[in-house]
Amino acid sequence: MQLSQLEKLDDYRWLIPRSTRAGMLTDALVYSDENLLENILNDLSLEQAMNVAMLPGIVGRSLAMPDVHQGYGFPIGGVAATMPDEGGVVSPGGVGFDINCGVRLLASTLVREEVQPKIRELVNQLFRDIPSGAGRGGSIKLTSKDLDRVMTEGAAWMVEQGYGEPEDLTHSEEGGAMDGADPAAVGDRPRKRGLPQLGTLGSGNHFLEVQYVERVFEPAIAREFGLQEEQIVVLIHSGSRGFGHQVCTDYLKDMDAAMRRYRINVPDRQLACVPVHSREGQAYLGAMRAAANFAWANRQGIAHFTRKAFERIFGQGARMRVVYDVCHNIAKLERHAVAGLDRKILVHRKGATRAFPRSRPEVPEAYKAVGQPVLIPGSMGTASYVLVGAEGALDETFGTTCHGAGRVMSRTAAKKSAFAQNARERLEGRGIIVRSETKDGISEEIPEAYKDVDAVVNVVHNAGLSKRVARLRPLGVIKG
Amino acid sequence: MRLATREIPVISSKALFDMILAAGASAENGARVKPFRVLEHKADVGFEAFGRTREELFTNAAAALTDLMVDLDSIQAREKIGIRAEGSEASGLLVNWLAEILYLWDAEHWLFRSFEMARLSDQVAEAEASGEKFDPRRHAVKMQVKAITYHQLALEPARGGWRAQVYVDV
Repeated sequence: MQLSQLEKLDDYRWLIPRSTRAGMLTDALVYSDENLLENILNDLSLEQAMNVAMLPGIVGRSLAMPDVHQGYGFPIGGVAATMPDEGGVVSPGGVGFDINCGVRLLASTLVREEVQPKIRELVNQLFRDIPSGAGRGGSIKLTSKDLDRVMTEGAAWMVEQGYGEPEDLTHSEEGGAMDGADPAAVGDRPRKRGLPQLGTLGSGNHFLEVQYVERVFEPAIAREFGLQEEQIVVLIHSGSRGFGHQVCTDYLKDMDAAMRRYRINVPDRQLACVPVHSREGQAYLGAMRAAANFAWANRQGIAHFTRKAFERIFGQGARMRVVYDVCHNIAKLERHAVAGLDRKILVHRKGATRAFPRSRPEVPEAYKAVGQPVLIPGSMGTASYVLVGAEGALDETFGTTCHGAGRVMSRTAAKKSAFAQNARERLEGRGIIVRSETKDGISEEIPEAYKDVDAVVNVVHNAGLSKRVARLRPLGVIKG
Repeated sequence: MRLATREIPVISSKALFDMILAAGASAENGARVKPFRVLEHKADVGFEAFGRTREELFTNAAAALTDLMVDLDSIQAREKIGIRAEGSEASGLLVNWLAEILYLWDAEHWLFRSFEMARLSDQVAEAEASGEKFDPRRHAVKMQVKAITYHQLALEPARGGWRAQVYVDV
């Protein structure tokens, strides 16, 4: 893909017209500035965004967020909506293997100067209490019957078992559980992989960070979110673990065969898809929602262990409130304006975050006045952001914004790079304590392997997809 | 689909390929060259595996997957279990075969050192796998693999033997 194939609409929008490649049913649109675009053009992400534009029943454009990078089938940072009533498809690749990978933010009553002197002790406690799940299972013991309830009730089941407070649920996308989960659509294998993994962090880019609010951009909105400068917060980035990975694996296998029956041709096998209104499509969506609910229960468990670790170090007074919980790998049926008409569409967000403004009924009661908090984890050791949903996202992106920094360096390249040498020491030199289950866990996730999160957020802010509220800086990290 | 140049693995030179084939089922003869190697991907990781026969290729691909997760040399052949995978064609079968090995690791903590392929067609793979359950005192987890993908999947004859290319989600 060459820069010359893109049509610059303004400083933050680049169009790939549908005429660029035979088979595209719609245009693709990339949100980026010129600097980020240079990196985006270095991998297959825009080829993949063009392939997504070939999905049957796609409405609007195939969208790429500024953190977009090459994935499998869909690019990571890709958004696509389909119209079920007009043959629109659901594609497990448009959700990803880590169904409801997402982010939860906890706000404490502590400030930086109280926590910094004890940060090493705190990080060690968190590392002990929150297993990564690599050979070390979680401490939440589930029966198979319990797992059925996790699949339908999500975080609420955890709260009922004592892993949290009822208010946690109202401060979460979907209230911590999606309707329409179908445990009967989930085979034995996801269940077996998932049973020992509830309340575990996982590896790869998943992490838990102790952070402080470095800067508030919008004081009035930050106040509504309960955030102020110097406050200590915890950001949890995890998903549905082996449960979700196996649901995706199982359904990709089914769809690979089913696609032929529905006479659907896609340019990449990893884009396998079936009509939403098909037996296979409905079964996948039921299983996907079950996995999404597993993920909410998982982040609920991790939040509980985080609270306990804080209590151990700082005493009972260390209260931690859930600010919000977002998912950035999901497909959801939502109502949006399509060509001026209010339609029910299936929005795939693969590495992209819902960013609803206050006008949407889905925004929880507590944030009705300002809009939905959007949580953007940066790479390990760099900044993270809290944004708020904006009307621009409803006009252009089905209410969606970016999800993170996005990689620029492969894991192998990161590991081999000069930056990987003494990565831990360098972070410690900047006052950031890191504990990881594996050595590679740090060297593959070095800050240099990622795009500049400030630049990514700058694009979505200036494009009007979401608004900057606060920037968070890490003090301590635990990783798989 | 055009490949971005940075992502194209350097195709093995004849010398490397011959060396790898000569190493063959390296586990028993102790050869130092592994019949597989790691490939780069922006967000994830892949591998290329070789074999003189398709049976050997499936075995070496399984070894490549295992070696991404845990050092292959740390695994001992203590117990045997049967493994079976199905697919609609050969490359899909390879994905399902590897997905089976990943499932046995993640759900039951099995690690395999070697495989005796009992049956291999385009639709079915059956093998007796020798290995052991994960032991944190002897095995260090290098990487957790989430899933096997169809991304740039290849299974093809090459230089009188077979070559596979597989990317995994980590």
